[in-house]
Amino acid sequence: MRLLASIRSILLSRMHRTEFRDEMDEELRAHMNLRADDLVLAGKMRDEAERQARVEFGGYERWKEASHEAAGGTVGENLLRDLRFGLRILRRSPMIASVAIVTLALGIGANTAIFSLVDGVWLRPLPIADPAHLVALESVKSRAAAQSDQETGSSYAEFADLRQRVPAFADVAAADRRGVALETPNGLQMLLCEVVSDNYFTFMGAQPELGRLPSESEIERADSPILVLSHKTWKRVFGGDPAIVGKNVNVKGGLATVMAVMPAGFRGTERLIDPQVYVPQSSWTMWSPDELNAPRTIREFEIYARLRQGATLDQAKAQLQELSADLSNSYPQANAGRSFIAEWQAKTSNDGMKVISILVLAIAGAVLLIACTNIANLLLALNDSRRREFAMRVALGATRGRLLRQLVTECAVLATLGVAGALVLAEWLITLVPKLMPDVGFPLGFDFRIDHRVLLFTAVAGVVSVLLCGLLPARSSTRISPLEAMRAKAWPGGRAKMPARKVFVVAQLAVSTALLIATGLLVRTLLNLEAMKMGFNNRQNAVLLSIGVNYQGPQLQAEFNALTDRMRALPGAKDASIARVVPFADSGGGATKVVLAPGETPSETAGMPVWFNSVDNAYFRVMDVPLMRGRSFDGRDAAAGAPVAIVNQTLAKRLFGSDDVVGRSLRIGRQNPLNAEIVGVAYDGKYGDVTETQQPYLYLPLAQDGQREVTLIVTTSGSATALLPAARKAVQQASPDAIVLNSQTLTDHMQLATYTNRMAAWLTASLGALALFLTAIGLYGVIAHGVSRRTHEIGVRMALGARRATVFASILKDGLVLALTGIVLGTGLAFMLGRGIGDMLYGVNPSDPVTFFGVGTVVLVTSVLAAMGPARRALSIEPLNALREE
Amino acid sequence: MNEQAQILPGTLDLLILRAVSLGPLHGYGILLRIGQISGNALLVEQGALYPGLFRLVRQGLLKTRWGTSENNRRAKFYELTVAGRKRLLEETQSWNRLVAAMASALAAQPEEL
Repeated sequence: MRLLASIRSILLSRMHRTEFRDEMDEELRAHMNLRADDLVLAGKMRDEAERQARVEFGGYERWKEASHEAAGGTVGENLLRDLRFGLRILRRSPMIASVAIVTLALGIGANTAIFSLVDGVWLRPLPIADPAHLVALESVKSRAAAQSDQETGSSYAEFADLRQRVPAFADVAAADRRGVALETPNGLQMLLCEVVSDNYFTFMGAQPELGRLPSESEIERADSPILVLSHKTWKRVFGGDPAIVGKNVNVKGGLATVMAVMPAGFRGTERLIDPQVYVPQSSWTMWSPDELNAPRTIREFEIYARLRQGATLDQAKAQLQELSADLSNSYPQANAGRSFIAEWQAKTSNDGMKVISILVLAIAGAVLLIACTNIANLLLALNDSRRREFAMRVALGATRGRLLRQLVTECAVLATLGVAGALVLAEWLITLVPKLMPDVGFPLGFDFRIDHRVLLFTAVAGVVSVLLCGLLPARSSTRISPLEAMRAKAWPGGRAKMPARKVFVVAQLAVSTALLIATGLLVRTLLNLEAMKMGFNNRQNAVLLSIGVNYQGPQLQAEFNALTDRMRALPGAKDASIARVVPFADSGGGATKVVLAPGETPSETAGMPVWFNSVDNAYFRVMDVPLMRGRSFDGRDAAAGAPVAIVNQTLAKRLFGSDDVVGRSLRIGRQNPLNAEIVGVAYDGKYGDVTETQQPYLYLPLAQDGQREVTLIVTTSGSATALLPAARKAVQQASPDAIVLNSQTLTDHMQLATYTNRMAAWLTASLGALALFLTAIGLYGVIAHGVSRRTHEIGVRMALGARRATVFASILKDGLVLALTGIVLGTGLAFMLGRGIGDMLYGVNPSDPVTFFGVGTVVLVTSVLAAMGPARRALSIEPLNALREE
Repeated sequence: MNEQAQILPGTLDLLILRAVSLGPLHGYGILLRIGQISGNALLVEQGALYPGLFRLVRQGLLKTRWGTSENNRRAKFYELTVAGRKRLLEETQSWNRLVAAMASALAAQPEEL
């Protein structure tokens, strides 16, 4: 019976909702009219009576909502009502609402952007078939002393061995990055080319966007080279020509047929770069037949494998051990001491990036935590002022769960708006990222986007935020004894205890302090690196042009001389030089020469590999590399002259135990070494990486060690950026056959050398600043709330003659106590964090007192500023008004 | 002000049932009746009455009809259903038991223990 009535009432209220609402309106209004009638009878004027009736009735809308709820709304209706009610409350406190939404947008937005970066760099599965079961192979040398021995690639001959002789592998593929010159309607263009084993496309399980991917045997049998374009190249270079498949293009001086276009996003196993074309090895060797017999010591290919059905990685590892042993027996010179290791590619890829990613993601998470505690704080303050309302609702039978639901819904409204803001912010940040990327002369392949994975992350972040910042304050706000709360005044007098809120703010201060200290350490590292002696003048204005020339012997020398002469004649140019490489080349230290120690017997395994450079006679002058002893290369050191060399201090000491080595003889080469006279000793510099330990280095005269890919260095007294286009043009004019592979200013080149440090400093700095900003808002909120709670008390104290300065100081003191506690805790946190980022620091102690003290001061000053506002407001309290408020 | 007692949560329902048990009443009338039968010792914010009324209707303890008040205003009248009368009886008994138990507990003397 009751059930029936209940159902009928719900049905009625659902079916005739507006009717029902109108009826309720009528009933409640009738009530007020009846009351007014009584008051008129008691002698009041009609309008006065109606006003009083309304006051006595209380919040009309609130009671109507509550009645409607009591009459049995459905869950959906309740939710809608909560939403409406929540929006109204938030509209009533627009400041709190907008601060909360902006805070959330910043916090979640930063996390979304960073997650999309991390996802693009490392987390997102490769766009190939079954990326989780891709095995990465590396060749490692035990006791690799020289940097060159640390190469982990494999030669193409080794790839063939791996493919045939490891039964546990179903298939093996190889890939290597090269540059390729493509003739386009706009002249020659260097493209980043992935040279791949013939089975590569089948191996990756890739499907083309256009055309057909030829099978391995088709590629082998083809009588002309074939080419596969990336989506971007197809669009950018060929204007998205729909009939591109089957067309011939001019590559490397030969013809190639475009077979297919890969879909957007395909990049094989590459994470950080975006190959522009793919060329199978069989086609590549048609252009460069000499590479067919490339020595086994040239380890350029990255190798990937897939396990045969039923085989395990451990079996593969065991078989690789056997193969490694066989190979070092058969080819001791190339493979002695080397062995192949196998690991899941997903596990090994980009270890360095992984560390940075996790670090940055952790920092971003901390910032989100700050944002959430901040909002929790604001809501706590907002809820405090609503205790009466909650108490009334509890008294009327609302359950605690009902109130919790209401508060969490309100928070969800905030979070939804915050998440919307966050997505806008993240989208903007992501478009910003490519502009922050260094100009490395080839397309960086960072594929950052807001896709379903990122959206999922954002949604989770949003939900966690709601729970953190909604549930926490809601729990404490709804722990209400209705009798107590209703009897109490809206603002309980006296200094109210608010431990939860203080804990939040102290935690925020601690996290911000720790973050800023980390930032300080990274910035100091960066400054140290930039102030570091590189062994050459890295601060001069110069342009660097990597060029490829197609001459040999005397012709090559003449070409080089013509080029440098032409450069020196450019308006604004000071001097010019040609070298094989400049320090901090993209490939690190680069190629090596083997140097024999005095007395060492030439053999297949003798000598030590040393990084080297081939430079012209002007190099030491132009790059400002100090010569400690002896002389630079000069006209005597021509192709026909006696072989000479210049060593750096470290190499001299390694070989002879002293740097007084001018005139001594150096043997270059393993088995049939060439004797070269040391004519000079160059100052030690940095060659591959700014933080490397001192490396041995060898200089040879370019005239005696011809190179066809070189770097042209042109110094200028004016702006290097302005000289760049003129220099490029001059190269084309002086030597029409020369290809400019890449051109940049020395300043940009050096930026690249400290790029990781720069990015780390930049990221922590912006996150740290964001954290401090949010913390300042949080502190301001807490103190301001404290002041408004204490309005009455302050009024009384002032009325009793307290001096304004005393009141001001007491409020400032509240802020200072919180700030100092937070700073002390944050310093402790920073000690731990500092040890975590120790690897990224250079020349600065992880517990550097200057950084700690400086950051402490910054946080303290910010806190004082944040507390100043509310403290000043306390000053403006008029004792009389404050007392009357009660 | 201190002469008036706050209403304990849950007791408003009982008061409404009691007030209506003496005859059909509109909302304002129920309020007056509560004041009258409690000797004006209980305080209810006027609007707070309605959520209680709607809840009781939903539970099938009260039924409603529109009628005219003594001074000719259209108003909604509430009266007890059979279930409502039964509930009033039960609640009154359990309330009396509670009051008796509380009274005896509070009046207990040390020597009785």
